[in-house]
Amino acid sequence: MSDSYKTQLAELLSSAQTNLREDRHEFARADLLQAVKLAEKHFGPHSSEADEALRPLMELHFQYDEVDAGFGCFEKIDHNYELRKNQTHERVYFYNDVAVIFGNKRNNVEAYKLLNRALTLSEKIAREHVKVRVHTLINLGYYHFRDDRYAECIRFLQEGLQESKAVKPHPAAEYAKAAIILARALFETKVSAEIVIPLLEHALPVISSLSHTPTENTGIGYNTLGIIYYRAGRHHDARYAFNKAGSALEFCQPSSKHYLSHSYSWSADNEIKLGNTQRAESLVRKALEICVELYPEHDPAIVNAKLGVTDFLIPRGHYTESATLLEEVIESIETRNGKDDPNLQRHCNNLGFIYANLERFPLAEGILRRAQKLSLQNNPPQPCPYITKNFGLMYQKMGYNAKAIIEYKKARKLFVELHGSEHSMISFIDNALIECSENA
Amino acid sequence: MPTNPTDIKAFLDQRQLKYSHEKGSNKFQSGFTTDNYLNAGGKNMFTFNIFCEDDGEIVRIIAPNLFSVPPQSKAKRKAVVWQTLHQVNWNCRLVTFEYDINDGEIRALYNIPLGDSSLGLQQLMNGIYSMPSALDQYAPDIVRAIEFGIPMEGHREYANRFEKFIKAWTPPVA
Repeated sequence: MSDSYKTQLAELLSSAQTNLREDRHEFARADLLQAVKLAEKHFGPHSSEADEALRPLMELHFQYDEVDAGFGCFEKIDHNYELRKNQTHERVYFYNDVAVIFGNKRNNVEAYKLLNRALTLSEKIAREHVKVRVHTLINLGYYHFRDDRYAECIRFLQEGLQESKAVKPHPAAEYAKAAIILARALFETKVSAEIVIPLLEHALPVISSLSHTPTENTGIGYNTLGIIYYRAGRHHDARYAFNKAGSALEFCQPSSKHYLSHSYSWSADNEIKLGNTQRAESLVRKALEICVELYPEHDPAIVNAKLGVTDFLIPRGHYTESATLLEEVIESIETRNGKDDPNLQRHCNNLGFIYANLERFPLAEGILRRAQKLSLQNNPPQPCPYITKNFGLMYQKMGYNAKAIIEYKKARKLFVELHGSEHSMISFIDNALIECSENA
Repeated sequence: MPTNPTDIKAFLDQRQLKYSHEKGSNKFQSGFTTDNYLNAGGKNMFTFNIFCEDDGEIVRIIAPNLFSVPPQSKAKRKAVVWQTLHQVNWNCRLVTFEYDINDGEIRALYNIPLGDSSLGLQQLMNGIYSMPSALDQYAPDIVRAIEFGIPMEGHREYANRFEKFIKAWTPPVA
């Protein structure tokens, strides 16, 4: 007789699953309610069969924000675990699973409550069931990481990984994922590269060799490794890491695309260090394309990506395109922050430099005067040597050598005062002064 | 005949793919831009050929000369490249990377064996589009094997190494 009820229960649960998969959640709800009733009647309200039916019903309630009904199921299951004393470790897993449901719904208050309950409970069984304790510590680490609480994240993940040494067999993929998050948290808190590199170097290949579809965590992990290699001057290693980051993030959800743009910008800087300017240019342009696709018109991310492209184009003398981009950058900053934003000084000055080189002198003079005015709005007012140098350049290009000499001399004096006589601009100005004197 | 160049041409036209094809030939040539992969000229692109062979019973998509291992490379380096391609093929499944040990050419291959069934649009497009995605995903590992002799290994090796590392690891932050 009991077997026939078991079969009926299994059929109801299977039908509910099919209905859930096909988004017929009202049918699924009916199946599950019937399953709970059947299990409670024939196996008892505290039976594991009752739990088996209650659990998907609870998940369904939480999924559709029926929080009270969900907690009703939760309390029943929890009470049943309490009665079955030898299933404490399963109870801890249960708390973890429900915490993940809350986490996915961004209800972090409930997620933390459950994880803390799980942690307290897991302490009592840590010796026999270390795996579930590690699982809880790692989950806590993830949630703190997601909320940018890096110190707590580091504490939980370190403890989790430390205790994971006793877990046999060692679920490498789960712990490698935790190690990547730990490394990212350590990186965010500026912990030294020697500590972060080995964690990432050992953990990342575990994950990237496992999944055929790379994950966001892997992509960001490789990008972090790339940045660390880049800063350490290991540019070939950085290229590999950035390429792995790019290939992982390419396959991720559109919501991860901003990481891809970030990674391309870093990768472009690295390619410049490796002398591959063609690749660098393609990367900064791709970073900009992604930002334009993702963000509204005047978003700071687009501004930064455009500046990334101009930083690349200006030293290579591609002035026409740089002028257009900088005009757009200035317009965006003005729209967002007003015409007196102090950041405009640098961009107006750069645009003045470009206009001077394009021999669009009235525009150059206007924008350099604006840059100068902005520099004098600083507290205390600070004359900018670059602006003065660009006035010199403009006059020189216009053929007004006497005026150019005056500006260059003023700029030279300012550079020496502010940056010392070894500054790279000094030799540029000295050469320009010689040219102007010869042509005067 | 299960398929013929006319079918393939119609599918490529339907998807508005750019290609070159000489009338009467069984070969189509096309190319894609890539995100990660760089060709020998340092550009983000590669070319591939589609062949209609064996009386239309098999369609082969071949991307030749993707990478090159200098023929004078030492045996150890060649072995590392072999191992890496083996691992890539294991992970990748659909696209196969082949290494000609004589001249060092590495190419990618996608076969569509038709037998007595006809070629479908989706079938052909799956083959074509799996090429750039496989290349972008695995190019960093293949290049690292060729240039630095660092092999791509299997998941188990990486997992064992990670386990050993964690066992010897001390939490860095007190």
